[in-house]
Amino acid sequence: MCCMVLKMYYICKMNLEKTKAQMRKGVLELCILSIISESDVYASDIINKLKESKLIVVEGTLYPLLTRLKNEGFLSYRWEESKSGPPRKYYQITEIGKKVLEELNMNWQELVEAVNNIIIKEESEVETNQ
Amino acid sequence: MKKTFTINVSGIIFHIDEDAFERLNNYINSVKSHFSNVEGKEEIINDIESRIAEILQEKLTDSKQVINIEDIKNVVSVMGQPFEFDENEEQEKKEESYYYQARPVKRLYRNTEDSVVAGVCSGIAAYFHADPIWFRIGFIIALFSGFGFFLYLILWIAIPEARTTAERLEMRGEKVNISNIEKSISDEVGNLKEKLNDLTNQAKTTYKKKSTQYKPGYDHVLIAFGNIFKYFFKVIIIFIGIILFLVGISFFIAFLASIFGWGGFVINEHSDIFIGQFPIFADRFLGGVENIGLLRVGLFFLIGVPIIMLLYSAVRLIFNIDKIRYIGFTAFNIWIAGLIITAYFAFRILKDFRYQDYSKKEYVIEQPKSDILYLDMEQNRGYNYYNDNEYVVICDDDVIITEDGKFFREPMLRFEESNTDQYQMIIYSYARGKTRNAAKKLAAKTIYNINQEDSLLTFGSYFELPDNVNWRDQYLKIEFLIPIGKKIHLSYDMDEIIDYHRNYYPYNLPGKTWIMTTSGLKREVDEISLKGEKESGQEVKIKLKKNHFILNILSCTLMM
Repeated sequence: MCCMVLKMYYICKMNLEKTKAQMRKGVLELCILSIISESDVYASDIINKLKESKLIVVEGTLYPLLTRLKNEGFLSYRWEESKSGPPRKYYQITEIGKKVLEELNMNWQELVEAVNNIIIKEESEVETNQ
Repeated sequence: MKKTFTINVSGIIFHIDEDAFERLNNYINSVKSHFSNVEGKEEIINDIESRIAEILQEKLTDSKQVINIEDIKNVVSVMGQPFEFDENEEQEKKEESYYYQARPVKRLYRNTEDSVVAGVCSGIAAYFHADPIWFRIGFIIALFSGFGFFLYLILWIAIPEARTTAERLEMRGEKVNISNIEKSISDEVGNLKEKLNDLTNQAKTTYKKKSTQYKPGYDHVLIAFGNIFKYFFKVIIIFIGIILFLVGISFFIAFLASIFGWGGFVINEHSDIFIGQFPIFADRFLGGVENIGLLRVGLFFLIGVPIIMLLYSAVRLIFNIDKIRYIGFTAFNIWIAGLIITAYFAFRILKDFRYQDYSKKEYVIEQPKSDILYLDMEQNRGYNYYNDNEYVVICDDDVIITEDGKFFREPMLRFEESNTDQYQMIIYSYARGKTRNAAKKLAAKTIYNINQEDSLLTFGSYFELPDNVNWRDQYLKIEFLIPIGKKIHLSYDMDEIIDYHRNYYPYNLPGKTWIMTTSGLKREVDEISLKGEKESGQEVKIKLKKNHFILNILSCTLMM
């Protein structure tokens, strides 16, 4: 009996984690494109910015995403020598990438507004009910 | 000293420790296998590798030129385990495979990684998700009943060993997927590191051990039996530890109780339990020790510390605890301090025992009208003989100390020939003291009672020390002088105080009448004793008759 309850709890928790991860995943691409659009950066810069805002937990997450964005033609990169380490890949945004970013950005603003509308309304309702 | 490798991570050369290399290699392999079905995997892996190179580069300074395992751990935690990369398109695929393997396969294997003999118990425990110790205990119990040994052998033969990581996962009933394998491998690498460390430690102490353990394909059974032996040895050690602990704890309680008088102290004499108070005894025996607290501390250090150390070592044996530094040294110092304190008191008391002297007193005997004196014992002992938990008996019934500190001792009585025609009795009381004079004075304080009524002399069964007199090896000798031709009769009770060390008179003195002759005491046959000896008398007569008869026959034959 107890075992069952524990199992249910773990399943719920796992699902919640999944939802959170999916939310992050959707936003992550937008964030990467946005960071790159500002200036040419290499992976570490992106990682630092994303880590600051707690959008990624481990760095390993980033590389497959970058590769996929590049393969879709949103990004390109050039090699640059580094004094302290291996040569760095500097990413820059392509024309297609810029358009995608604009679209995604608009989409995001709409989404935020819509979501906020719902959430804040609910909250105020809860407050008035109280 | 450690072995290092030189590796090339995206074009940069690193020197890396052996264990760190293993870890890194495992990690990169697990990443590679994670991305094996992803488009552009080479690129992803190259990116990850170059990032790793970058992080590692930051770890190096002029003074630190080698990558160690901590660095690798750090890299792995920064980059994340492959199963944490889940935020990519592989997720759907994974879910499919998750459903495919929703029911993890569980199989029974021998867990040779955590084994005492062959990992049977450990494997069964892994199957049931339990601690192997219970199965081991079960098998040891079964071993005593006889069939355990064969059961183990059968299981050993029947159950396969978990050789691969996948098998080990199956053994524990975990899903066989990449992330679990990766996790398991990193666990194993960690274990391996510990094992290697253990081994190097072992190798330091015994090279021999290492060589037998690390000969591949060396007699496996022999190693197994070695393990059995080791396990039994451990059990025996723990058993000894428990016994030591029990002994120690009882010593400790007894000792504390006796020193600090927690409910008195207990002497078990002839299985009679006696409860005494330490202060009374200390006072009575040691006498004049004004600083009894210090003496207690001294005794505690001298006797208590070894008992505590006994307990400590017992606990160490049972729980296999490492030696705590300096504890032996500290205990030894405390013990020495206790020894010095106790020795100080011992010397002070010893001084009181330096000289022995005696005081001589004559007990004037009223001479009896007949020439016989009856000697008997006082039945009243001065303490309650039947309440045997109120007193303690020391030195073969010689010395008696009662609960409230009263001191009794048997006198020694001996018989000598008197020069005069009168019965005489001289009492010598001995004692010890700082000086002869003090000894003599102390001796004179001994109390001993003798009563006379007509021809009956009643001796006290013990002499007694007054309450203010300390025990200084007091004893009492009574010399009873009998004129030649005069008689004494001894009651059976007199046996207790007669000094049998005088060897010139027969041993069974009590209960009979004796006459003093020039060659010591001789048996006087009186009516009382005749009654007891009637039978033996008849025997003598019969013997005489027989002899007579034979003589008669002899004479008859001669005559013929």
